[in-house]
Amino acid sequence: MKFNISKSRFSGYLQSVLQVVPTKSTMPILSNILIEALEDKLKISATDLEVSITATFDCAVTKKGLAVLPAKYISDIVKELPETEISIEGTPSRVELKVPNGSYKIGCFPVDDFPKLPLVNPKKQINIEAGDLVTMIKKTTFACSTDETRPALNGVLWSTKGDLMSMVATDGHRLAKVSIENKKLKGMSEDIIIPPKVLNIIPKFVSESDGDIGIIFGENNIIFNLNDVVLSSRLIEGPYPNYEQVIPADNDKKLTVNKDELAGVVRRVSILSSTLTHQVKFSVKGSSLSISTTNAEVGGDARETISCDYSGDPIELGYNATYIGDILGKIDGEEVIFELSTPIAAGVIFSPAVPKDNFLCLVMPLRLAD
Amino acid sequence: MGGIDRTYDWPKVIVHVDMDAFFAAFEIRNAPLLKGKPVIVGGDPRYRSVVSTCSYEARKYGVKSGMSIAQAKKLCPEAIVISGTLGGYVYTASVLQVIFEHYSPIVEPFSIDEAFLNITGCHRIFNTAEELVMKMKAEIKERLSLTCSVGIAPSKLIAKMASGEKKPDGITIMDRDDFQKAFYPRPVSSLWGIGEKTQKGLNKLGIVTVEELAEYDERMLKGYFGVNAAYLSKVARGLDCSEVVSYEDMPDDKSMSHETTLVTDLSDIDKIYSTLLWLSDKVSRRLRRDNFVARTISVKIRSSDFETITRDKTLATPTDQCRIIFETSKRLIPREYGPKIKVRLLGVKASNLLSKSGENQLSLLSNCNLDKLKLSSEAVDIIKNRYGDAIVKFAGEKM
Repeated sequence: MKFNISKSRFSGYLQSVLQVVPTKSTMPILSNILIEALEDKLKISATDLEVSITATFDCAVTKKGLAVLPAKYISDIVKELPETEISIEGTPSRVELKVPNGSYKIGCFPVDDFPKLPLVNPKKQINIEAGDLVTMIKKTTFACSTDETRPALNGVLWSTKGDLMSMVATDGHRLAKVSIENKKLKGMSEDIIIPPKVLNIIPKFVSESDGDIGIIFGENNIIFNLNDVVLSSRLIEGPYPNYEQVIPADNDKKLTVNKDELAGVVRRVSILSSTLTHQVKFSVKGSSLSISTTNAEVGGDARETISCDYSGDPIELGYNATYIGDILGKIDGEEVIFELSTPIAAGVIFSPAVPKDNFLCLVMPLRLAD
Repeated sequence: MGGIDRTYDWPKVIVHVDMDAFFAAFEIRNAPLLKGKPVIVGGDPRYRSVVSTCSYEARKYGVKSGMSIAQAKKLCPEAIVISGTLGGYVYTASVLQVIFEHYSPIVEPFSIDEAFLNITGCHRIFNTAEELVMKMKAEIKERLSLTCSVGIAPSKLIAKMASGEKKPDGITIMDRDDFQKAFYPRPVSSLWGIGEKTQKGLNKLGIVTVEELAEYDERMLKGYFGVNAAYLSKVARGLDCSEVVSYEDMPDDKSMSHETTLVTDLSDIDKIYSTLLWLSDKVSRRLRRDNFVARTISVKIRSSDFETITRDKTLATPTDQCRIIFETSKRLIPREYGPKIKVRLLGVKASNLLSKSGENQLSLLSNCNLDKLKLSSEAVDIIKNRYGDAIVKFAGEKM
């Protein structure tokens, strides 16, 4: 194997594939990357067995070959080099990086030990706008569960039906749902559950202004074609719970409040909340909303009151401040609306600037102690 | 040791009850043929079990609690080893608790066979503290055919030290002056809470007797024993102002755990899992009994070469369910344990406890599987509470 490449290009691609290399793994081989020098092209791959990434780009290859290298060493060395042309040469057992003032040699792992990247049997292929995909990802993945006993909730449900596609995530306590119209779906009707890890990597490679992204749906996996980079992931087995039935349609109390002001108050008051429950209490009466907390552990007590627009009987609700903070961070516009019913029922949170059908969040209260 | 009337002048009158050779006495009572013979209650002598307790006849040969059964058998080859009847001991302890409550409203169970009673004021009903204790001892003897040794003192510390003075079946009244007279000449290891390691440390400083410890500068001790220096200095001088706390008033548990040293070191992963399931069940039952859910689950693993590791995981949803605790702890065991590293001890701990009656995060989606699990746990709890723990077991649970 022998090729020449500029430091900045090589470093950029190495950093890209590093997104997938697991920081801790019981399988040492997964801390490595596979470099393949092909005819005028270089291919760099990494996998954690769930998500795989391959970057393929033009490169001056003088001798074809393969090598499996420790990801951290190679990327750290290249990152620290000044801008220069690097000549990389080696065998499958040892690779040398030649730089103007000297050289770096690293031992390689056996190429055969590197996991085979999954072959995909494409069922369907669609194109969607990068901006739409990134928006859907940014507004949902935060609500995924990490509870290993309910695997379906560990992923984002991506549904396509007619011209509408939606992403939903929930951990059983809160839910986020975003829907976008896409004329290019060609009537595809599909429900798949995607691990959030692969979705959270996508916005690092594409911006909202990029054009279309090709997506291939396989039997058990999904592939995203992002220019030079191909990302693939295994899918999570369903079924996904019937979330639609828990979205309340008749919450009769409507609370409208300035979003940034509320986010600031919740953040401050929650400093004194219980470290286990993060509970803050919302007390709404007339045009004032009080956020308070008490914490016996530190003898703490906090309360702030802000003005709001509310018509309905006074109500008191307990919420996990982290959940409220996460949701407010995803709401667009100056104001936020809470549609409420009782202190033990789900509240619907959305922006008056965006139709509720396009983006809404649900949050369940914390039962207030007697 | 002084008269009885002086207890009237004490601001507090504390009684410490210590059942005499409890497990052994229980077995001898149930099998009178054992009477007068050296009896050891402990595990199966074929495995590395230890002496839980032994009769006074066995003690004459030098047999002590905590000693390995093999060693005890060497000292006293004719000793009769019995593996014990835990259910019977627990039942007897519950009867004892009822008896204690006839004599004081403030009873602190200290272990299965020891308790502290705050009898301040109550003793006047019985004329003197000693008469109260004599009546209580008589009731224990009548109802359970067991004897106990009792210390009466103005503090928990001195009461505990006093109860060991006249064993078996004795009563010792001791105030701080008596304590100093009796204990000052003795070695530091005769004090409550001073084990072999601390004794060695003290000896290195030239402190051998209780009196030497009492007179040693606490600030100097601090350099060697850190936060424990204050305790050492106080205990040697007979100073203790801790209160007797009844079970109901005990502070909420911060965590609940169970651990077990395995009969033989295990390399079979299925056997490790089956022990883990048994421990998870014990922890989850305690959580449910006391109305808690736990947010964090930890496992403790000791390898055959005594290296101990702990691993923990914080759950997205707090739980009191055995299945979830078991599945979580199973995933926490590193792969090399079992096949490559033999396991000697296993433990499961639930911490970051939340009261179920306190603030609770409500759920958006009903979780049918979890609801079913909860219902079956409730049913099993009812059966176990009525017929004992052994009546129902999970398939695959350690027997």
